[in-house]
Amino acid sequence: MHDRKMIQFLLVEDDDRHAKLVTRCLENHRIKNEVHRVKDGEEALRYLRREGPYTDALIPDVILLDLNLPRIDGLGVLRDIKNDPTLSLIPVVMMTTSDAESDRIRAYKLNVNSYLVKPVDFEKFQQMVTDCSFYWGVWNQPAYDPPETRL
Amino acid sequence: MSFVDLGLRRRFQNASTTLAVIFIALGVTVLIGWRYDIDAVKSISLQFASMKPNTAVGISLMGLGAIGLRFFKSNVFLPFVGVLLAGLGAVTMSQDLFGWNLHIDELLFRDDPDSLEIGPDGRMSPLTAAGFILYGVAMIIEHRMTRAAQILTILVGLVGYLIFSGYMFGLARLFRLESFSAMAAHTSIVMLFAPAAFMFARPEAGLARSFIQNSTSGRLMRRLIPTSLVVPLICGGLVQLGEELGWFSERVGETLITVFSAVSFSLLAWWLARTVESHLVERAGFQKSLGRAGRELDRRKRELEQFAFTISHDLKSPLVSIRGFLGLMQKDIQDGRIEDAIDSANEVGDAAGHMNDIIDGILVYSRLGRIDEDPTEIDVEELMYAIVDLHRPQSDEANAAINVKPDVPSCFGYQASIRRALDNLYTNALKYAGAEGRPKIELGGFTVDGECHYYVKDNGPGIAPEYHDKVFELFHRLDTDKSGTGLGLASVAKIAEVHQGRAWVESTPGRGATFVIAVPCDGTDLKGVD
Repeated sequence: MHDRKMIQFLLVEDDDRHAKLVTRCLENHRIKNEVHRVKDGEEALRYLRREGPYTDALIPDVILLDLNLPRIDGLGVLRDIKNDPTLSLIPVVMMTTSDAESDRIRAYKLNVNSYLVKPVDFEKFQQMVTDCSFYWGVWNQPAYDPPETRL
Repeated sequence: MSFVDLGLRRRFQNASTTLAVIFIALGVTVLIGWRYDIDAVKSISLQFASMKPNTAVGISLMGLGAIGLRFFKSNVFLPFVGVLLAGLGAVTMSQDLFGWNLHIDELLFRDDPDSLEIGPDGRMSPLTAAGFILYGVAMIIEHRMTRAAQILTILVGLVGYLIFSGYMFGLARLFRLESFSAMAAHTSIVMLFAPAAFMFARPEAGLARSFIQNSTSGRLMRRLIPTSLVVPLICGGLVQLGEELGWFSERVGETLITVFSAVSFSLLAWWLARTVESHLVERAGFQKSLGRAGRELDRRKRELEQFAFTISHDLKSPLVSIRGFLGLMQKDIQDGRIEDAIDSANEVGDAAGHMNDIIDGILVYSRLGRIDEDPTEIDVEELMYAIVDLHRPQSDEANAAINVKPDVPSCFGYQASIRRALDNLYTNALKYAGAEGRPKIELGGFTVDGECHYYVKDNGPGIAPEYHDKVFELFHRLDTDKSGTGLGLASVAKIAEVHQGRAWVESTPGRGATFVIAVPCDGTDLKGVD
C-alpha cells in the first residue's frame, strides 16, 4: 500500500542511468517521496490512464518528463496529458539535456509547467532535483485536491 | 542575364572607327575629284547627282566626330566638330529657306555651269543639309543626352536609307524636290551608316548597349536589325535589275518584291521563334535544376541541423550520467558505502562505453554520404554468407536458425556500404529474433522491375505500423532494453539513399519483422569517387 502522505513522482525516463541518478538524488531527501519510473511515452500514458499493469497506480503529484523518448516522445506525452481533462492539472516538469529554443517554445506552447535542462555538473544536478521536488512538493499549491482526499 | 561582352564591344568600336575613316577618306577623295574634275568621283554615275564640295567637308566632319567620340575623352572636341557641322548645314539651309545667297556653296570649287542638275550651282541637297544639322546637334548634346543624340543620328540614317533605296529601285528622281539638288548616291550611303559610326563609338552607352550584350536579346538584335534592313534592299535591287534586263515587267517585279519580303520575313520570324524557344528551354531546364538543387540543399541543411542537435543531445546524455555517478561515488566513499561506490563506478564505465559507441556510430554514419570507393558489381549472396559467418558466435549462442535463400541477385553499387547495410539489418535481427521460441532469421533477395530487393526477416516481436518510418530516423530507438545507438537503421536508410534506392520494414506486431533495402540493380546514376 502506498503512503499517501508521500509526494508521488512519475519519472518518465528512457535512460536507466539518468533514472537511477534522479532516484538516488531523491532517496535521502527530507521530503518523503516515492518515485515511479516508466521507460517510454506509451508506458507513461498507460500509467496515467491506469491501463494494464497500472490499474491501482496513484495519480502522481508531479510528472518528471524526459524530452527524447522512444515510441511517443516527451512532447507527445505532454500534449496528451494536457488534452486530457482528468490529467491536465497535474504539474509536468520537463527534464531534458536539450536546451534548444525550439523545444522549449514547443513545450511551453503545450502548457508545460516547467522546463529544466539537466546540468552536466553533478552538484548542480542534485541541487536541481531536490529544489524541484521541494518547490512542487512543498511550496506549490496544486490546482486539484491534495492526495489525501482522493480515492 | 545580360552582360556586356567586352570582345563584342571592341569589335563594334572598331567597326565605328573603320566607318569614320571611310567617311573622311571619301570626303577627301571627293574634294580631290573636284580639284581635278574627276566625274567618276564626284558622282558615281553621270545619271546621279554629284557630291558637292561642302558635303564632302561635312561627311569628313562626321567621320572626325565618330573618331573623337571613341578616342577623345574631352567634352570640348566633339561639340566643337558638331557646331561646325550643324553650322554648315544650317547656313546652307537658310539659303533655301530665305532665298538669299551667302556664296558658301562655291567657296571651295566652282560647280560645272553646264551641269544638268537642278538647283543652285554647287549647293548640297536640303536633305543633306538637314542631315548635317541633326548629326551636328547630336554631337553637341551627346555627353548630356546620349539617347536623344543617338535618336537624332538614327533619323539621319533613315534619310540615308530612304535615298539609298531610291537609288536601288531606280526611283532617284522621285526624291528630287523641284528646284533643289538631289542627294548623291555615296552621300546617302554615308548617311545610312552614320548612326552606326556614331553609336558604336561608345556602344556601352544608351541604345546600342543591347547590341554588345552577351544575351539572347543581344544575339537577336545583332542578327535581326541588319537582316531586316538589308533584305528588302537586296530584293528591290535584284528585281530592279531583272526589270532593266527585261526579264519581267514592272507589275511582276512588284509582285516579286512582295513575295520575297513575305518569304524572307517568314524565315526571319521562324529563326527568331526558334532562338527564343531554345533559349526558353535552356532557361527552364536551368531553373528546374536550380530549384532541385535548392530543395536538395534545404533538405541537407535540415538534416544537418537535426544531426547536430541529436548528436549534442545524445552525447550529453551519457556525460550527465558519468558526472552524476562520479558525484554519487564520491559521496558513497565518504559515507563508507563501498558496494554503492563500486556500483556507481560500473555505471560510469558503462556510460563511457555507450558514449564511445555513439561516437563510433556517428563517425560511420557521417562517412556514408562520402563515398570513397568506385561502384562495382556486388555478389550479394556471397556478402550475406560472409556476414552470417562473421556473427556465427552470437547466433550459435542464441541457438538461432539462420537461412540464406539461394538465387540472391547481384547488383551494382558500393560494396562496403551494401555490406554495412546488410550487416546492420542482420545484427538488428539477431538482437530481436526469437520473441517466442527459437530465433529464426532468413536472408534473401529478388528482382522487381530492375530493382534489387534484399531482405532480412526475423521472428522477433515485430514493430507497430506507426513506427515503421520512425525506426529509420537518426537516433530513434524503439526499445530501451536493448543496447543501441539509434544509428544502425538510419545508416541503412542513408546507404539506400546513396544508391538511389530506399529501405523499409514490413511487420505486424507479434509476427516478426522483414527489413528490406531496395536499390537499382544496374546502379543507375552512381558516380565514382567525388
